This record gives sequence, C-alpha cells and structure tokens, in this order.
Amino acid sequence: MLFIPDKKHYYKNNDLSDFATPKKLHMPLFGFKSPLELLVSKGQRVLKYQQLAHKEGLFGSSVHAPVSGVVGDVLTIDEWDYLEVFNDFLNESEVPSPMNPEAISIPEFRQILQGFGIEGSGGARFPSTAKYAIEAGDVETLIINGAECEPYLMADYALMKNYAQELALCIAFIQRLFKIPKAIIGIENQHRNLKPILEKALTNEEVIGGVKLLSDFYPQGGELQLIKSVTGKTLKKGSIPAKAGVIVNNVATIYAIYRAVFKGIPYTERIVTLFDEASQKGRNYWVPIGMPVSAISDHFFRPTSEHFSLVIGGPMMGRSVQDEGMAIHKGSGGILSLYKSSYQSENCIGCGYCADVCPQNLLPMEFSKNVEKQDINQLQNYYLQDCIECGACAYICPSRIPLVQDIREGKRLML
Amino acid sequence: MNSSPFISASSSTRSVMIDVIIALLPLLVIALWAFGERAFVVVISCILSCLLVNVLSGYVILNKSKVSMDGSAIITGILLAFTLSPLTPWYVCVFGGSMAILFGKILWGGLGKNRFNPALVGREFMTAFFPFIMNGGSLWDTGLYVNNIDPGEYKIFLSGHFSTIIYNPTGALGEYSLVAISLGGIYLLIRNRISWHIPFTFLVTLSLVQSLLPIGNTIQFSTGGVLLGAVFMATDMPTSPTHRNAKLYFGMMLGLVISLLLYSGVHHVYLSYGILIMNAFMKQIGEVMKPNAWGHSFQKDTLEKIGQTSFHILLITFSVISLHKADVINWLIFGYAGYMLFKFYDQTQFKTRALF
Ligand code: SF4
Ligand code: SF4
Repeated sequence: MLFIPDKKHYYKNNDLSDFATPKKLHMPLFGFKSPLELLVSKGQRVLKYQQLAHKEGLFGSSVHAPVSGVVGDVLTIDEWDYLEVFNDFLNESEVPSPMNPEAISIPEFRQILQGFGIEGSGGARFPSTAKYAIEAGDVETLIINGAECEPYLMADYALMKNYAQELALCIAFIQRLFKIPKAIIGIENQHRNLKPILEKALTNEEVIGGVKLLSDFYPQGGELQLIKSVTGKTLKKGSIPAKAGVIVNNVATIYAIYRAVFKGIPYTERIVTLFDEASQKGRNYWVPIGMPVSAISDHFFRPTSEHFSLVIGGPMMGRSVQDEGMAIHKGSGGILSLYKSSYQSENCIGCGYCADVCPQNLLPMEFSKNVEKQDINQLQNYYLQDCIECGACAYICPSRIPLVQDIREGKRLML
Repeated sequence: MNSSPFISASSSTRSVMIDVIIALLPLLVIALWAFGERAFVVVISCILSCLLVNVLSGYVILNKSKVSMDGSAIITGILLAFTLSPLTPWYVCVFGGSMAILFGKILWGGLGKNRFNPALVGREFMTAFFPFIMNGGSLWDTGLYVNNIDPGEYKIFLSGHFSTIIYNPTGALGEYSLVAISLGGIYLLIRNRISWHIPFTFLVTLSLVQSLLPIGNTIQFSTGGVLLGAVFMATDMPTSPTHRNAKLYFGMMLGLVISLLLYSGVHHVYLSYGILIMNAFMKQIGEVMKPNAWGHSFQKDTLEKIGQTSFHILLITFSVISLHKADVINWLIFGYAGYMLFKFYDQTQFKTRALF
C-alpha cells in the first residue's frame, strides 16, 4: 500500500474562482477512443452552449461551445485534434431548454447524457451513455467517487464542499430513475470534514445511502479498488461493474449530469486545480472546457523553465504537456507545474517495493525485465493486461526504473 | 521524463544501502571490541578489496564508473568479514573480497543482476582456493585472542545466560551478539529494507524441525550465525524473492534445507550452502508463487508447481550434501567460476556484435 505525502491540507479550503475566459479556445475533438464529427464549419458564428461536434452510438459523445464566437481551424496538437473557437466576449447563449426531471424516462436520460456531452470526469473519459446502458433495478449500488487520490488535485474536494446540495439532488434523481437501493459517496479519510456536509445534503434529498470514508492510500480512487472498499466485491479488470450490480460515477460527472438535467446546460466547464510546485501554491478554478494550457500558464505559473514540466491531470497518471496549445478536456482535473526529475535509472535491485504497492497485486519488476526480453508469454503470465497504469510502482522504485513506460511498451507488444 | 508518474518517492538505491550499513554498525562494534585489531584487519581487507574490485572491474567490464557509488560493495565486504574467523589471514580476505565482487556481482552484470549472495560466493571461493587455511582447525581456535570483558563488572546486571545474548565471542565475526543482530534487524524492518517474511518463516521452520526431530544433541549450530543469516543474508534484495508469498516459501524451504544440512553433519558451512542453494531457486520460486492478480482466481496448477519446485530444491540439497561428503565441493566452485567466465565471454561477444 502506498501513501503519497502531499500538501493538500495547505490549500484545500481555498475558495473557487473563475478563470478569465481566453480569447481563443481549443475544443478537444477526441472522445473516448474515437474522434468526434464536426457540426460547424470554419468562419461560422456559434452561440454559447451550441453543439460543435458529436458522435452517435453507445460510446458517442459531444462537445459544446463554452463561449459565443467564431469557429476557426482544426488544429492537430500532439496527435490530437482541436477546434479553434474565437471568443467574441458577447456571451450570447442558446437558451437552455428547461426539463422536468420527474418526467424523464430512462431512454430520454441516455439521450440527455449523449446530447449534453456528459462523460467520465475522473480521467478515462468513459461516455456516461455507455455507463448508463442499464435498466431500472439492474444495479444495487451507485458509488460516487469522491476519492481524489491523485496528489495535489483538489477539484473534486472543492466541488463536494461547495455543491453538496446539487450533487445530492442529482444522486436522488438517478437513484429514483434506476431504482437503485443504495447510493454511497466515497471520500478519503483526509477529507472527512466533508462527511457531515455531504450527509446533510443526502438526507435533505432523501437519498438512501451515505458517505463512506476510505483510507488515504493510493490509488483509492481506482474504480476496482473503490468498488472493493464500498461493496467488498473484487472485480477483475475489464469486467463491467454494472453486471455485478455496481455503477461508479465521479463527483464531477454527477455535477455535470445535474447541470444537464436540472438546468439544461451542456458540459462546458469544470473545476480544475492549478498547482505550482515551485511556489507550493495551488488553487481551484472554474475553467471552460477547451481552455488552452498557454492561457493558464501565462497567468498562473512562474515562468516555466527547463527545470519544470507542465502536466495535464494528476502527477501520477497525467500527461505531460508537449505543446501549450493542448487544452483542458472533460477528464482533466488539474494543470500542474512540477520539478523535472533528474534521476537516472539503475538496475532493479529486487527490493519488491513495486509489488508491495501495486493495487492490482502484480509484479511490476517482471514487466520491465520481460519487456526488455520482448517475452510476450511471460508478460501475459504475469498479467500485464491487468495493470491499470496507476504509477504507484514507478513512484516508489528506488532504482527509478521507468516502470509505467515499460508497461505501456509491453502492452503495445502484446497487441 | 515525459511519462507519468511525474513525482517519485525520495528513496534511492543508495539510501537503501546506507540503511543496511547502519544496521550492520552495532555488529561491527562488537566484533572490533572482541578481537581488536585482528578483527579490524579482516574487516578492512574485505571492505577495501570489495571497493577496489568493484570500481576497477565495474569500470572495465560494465563500463560504468558509478558502480562504486551505491554502497553495496561495502555491505558485501562487511558481510563477508562477518562470516570469517578473526584469524583469517588478510591476503585470503582480499582474495575473498575480490572474488565476491567479481564472481558474485560484476560478471552477472552488476548490482541487482546477480543471482547468488556475493558475500557467500566470496566465502566459498576462499574455501575452494585456500582449503588448508579455511578448513584448518586452528583458524577457529580464537579463545586466546578474545578480549574478555571483566566478568565482574559486566555481569552485575545480567545473569550469565542472559549476558551471552549480548556478547558471546565465539565463531565468525558477525555472530557475537544476538542483541546487536536483532537491533540491526529491527532497524531494517522499521525502514522497510527487509520484510519479516523470510527471517520469520526460516527461523520458525528451523526450530520446528529441531523440536519435532531431536536426534540427540548432535546437531550443533551457532544461534548467532543463524540469526545473522536470517536477517542479513537470506533477505538480500537481489538474491531473494520480491513478493510476500514467495518470501514465505523461500524462508520456509531455507529452514528445511538448513535442517537437512545439519542432520547430515555439515558443519560451519551449512548456512552458506543453504542460502546459496535457495538463491539458485529464487527466480523459479518467484514465478511459481506469484500472486494472483486482482480479481483472478487461484490457478489450479500452482500446487503441482510448488511440489515440483520443492522436490528440485531437496534434490539439489542432497546432491550438495553428497558432494560435500565426497569432499569435492571445491570442484563445484571451479566449475562455477569457469561457467561465469564463459558466460561473460559469450555475452561480450554478443554485445560487440550488437554494437556494430
Ligand atoms: S502501474 Fe500497473 S503495475 Fe504499477 S502499481 Fe499500478 S497497476 Fe500495478
Ligand atoms: S521497486 Fe524497482 S528496484 Fe525494487 S523490485 Fe521493483 S523494479 Fe526492482
């Protein structure tokens, strides 16, 4: 088990602020494993909340304009496509169409999820439509993932603290719609001050369920680990939780659903933690989806030098920013400026620390050895496919072996 | 680095090694206290030869100058000295230290790639190449030289029996104080540099076999030596399994193997033999005992594989016992040396080919 020290307690009570909307947005045109199809063309004027691109089907999704403005080019940045939108600062929006939550049927709900671009906000960006491909009575437990186990990130914390009532309202709605007997919000023990706030909100909205405190070990927020902590069920990687009667949603996803169902507003902004390691300063902001890193880094971070790297997401599972044109998408909970490590990797000394911390019970050192030997049979034999790439092993390795890099390489070999 | 994770824990291989050295310090103090400059000569010649050979051969063979910096050579030196009599001649120590690093570590490819505990490899080389010195009875006749502490002053607080666990200077340099060894072990446990699994199952198995099959009082072993082996030798990171299940099995089998060696009348060297035999099976054990991944169920052929592995281990143990009885263990060492040289030659050929 791995405990990663961080300093969330220094800044977690900071309030939420809005970040000034930039002149230009880069709307991500990639969804879960597939690109989106454009619905607008270059030069076209779009209103705030207007759909810009979408994809039909079970894994479909869509993306909407967070501002009013004019559509520009499609840019390819670091292998991904983004659509330029030039902000006209008029903030003219499509009028959100009000709905009556009580009258929504399950198929209509799925339509809303897809049409409003709701997807997993915890990082993997799994489309919520696919997640809710269930019928009433299929699921016993709705787990709301509030265990933001990535160090430095506290966006979910801020969300739960400031919007407990809205979250509870949405949870109650989902619970009624799908006739789910139990709804549990899982939060880390270090955030137990949220427990009474959330419990009060849940009681107010007559949610049947409660708040569960989880240990602070990393990665508590991993879906499989969370399901185990809450229900005691050990699911194999790749299995569908709904088949075991469980559905897991990130708190930020629940909030996005709330806005869609109760306000008629699509998923166009989210809370993001900005953290600067040099100054040990961190703060949460409401940021529009599509906010380019450059628009943030100019204002927030100290001048970036070669000693720092920018990361989108958390320090354990995030992506390094190759180009500051990369933008916030619905799965990014943070932008961080971190010291670059200068360690050189050495031979594996067989300390076994990586195996001790692996939440999936794997032997990471074997992955590195067998990737080097290109031994696919052994990789399989050691269950490489069950790795969730949480990075715990690489974090702890005293020989600084790039285990996650090797693991990704191994997965490529196995394809 | 452009790949996650972007943060890492602060420990490094060097901090791991430094912790082991710290844990060895109390034992070192006791050894020096007991035998003064004799112990000092043995320890220093072991450490220096290890360091020197590590830098030289590391530089020449592995072409990496940093191999000397990780502190593991110092540990090998101290551990080697701890298995020796304080009367071991310095040149034999130097030979042992050099062989420990060369044939125990560098020819395998450096720290972490070695399969056998380097200190014990060094010790076996000493026995093979200097049999008359290493097996001579006078080597262990240390009574004359020991620094006996004034019993009156020292035993005031402690009963006679109890005082022997603090200071009992018989046998090899590392065996004189059960308390010092335990202190080192506790420190390593607290710092998570060893885990309890191997020492625990090893000691439990050994005592269980002892109490279940007490064949008279013929079996003699040094408690200090066994504890030293359990805490510092059997737990050596590169040469012992990396995960819990395998460690439990490793310790248990080590206890069994050592009992067998003892029952067969192998003296003095039972610990090195036992640990080296288990080292040879480290990889296989790691694989057979590998944990089930999250959500996977127990593989049915595991039990069968465990049976097979245990059988192989016992088979090898009996072979070693026979070789030992036939007095040809040194040929095994010569064979090992030859094999390592050949392997190295083969690999460098390969490497040069790969380079061009
Ligand atoms: S990245 Fe994979 S192998 Fe490493 S700790 Fe996480 S699950 Fe285990
Ligand atoms: S943590 Fe690193 S050095 Fe230790 S066993 Fe794992 S890969 Fe090897």
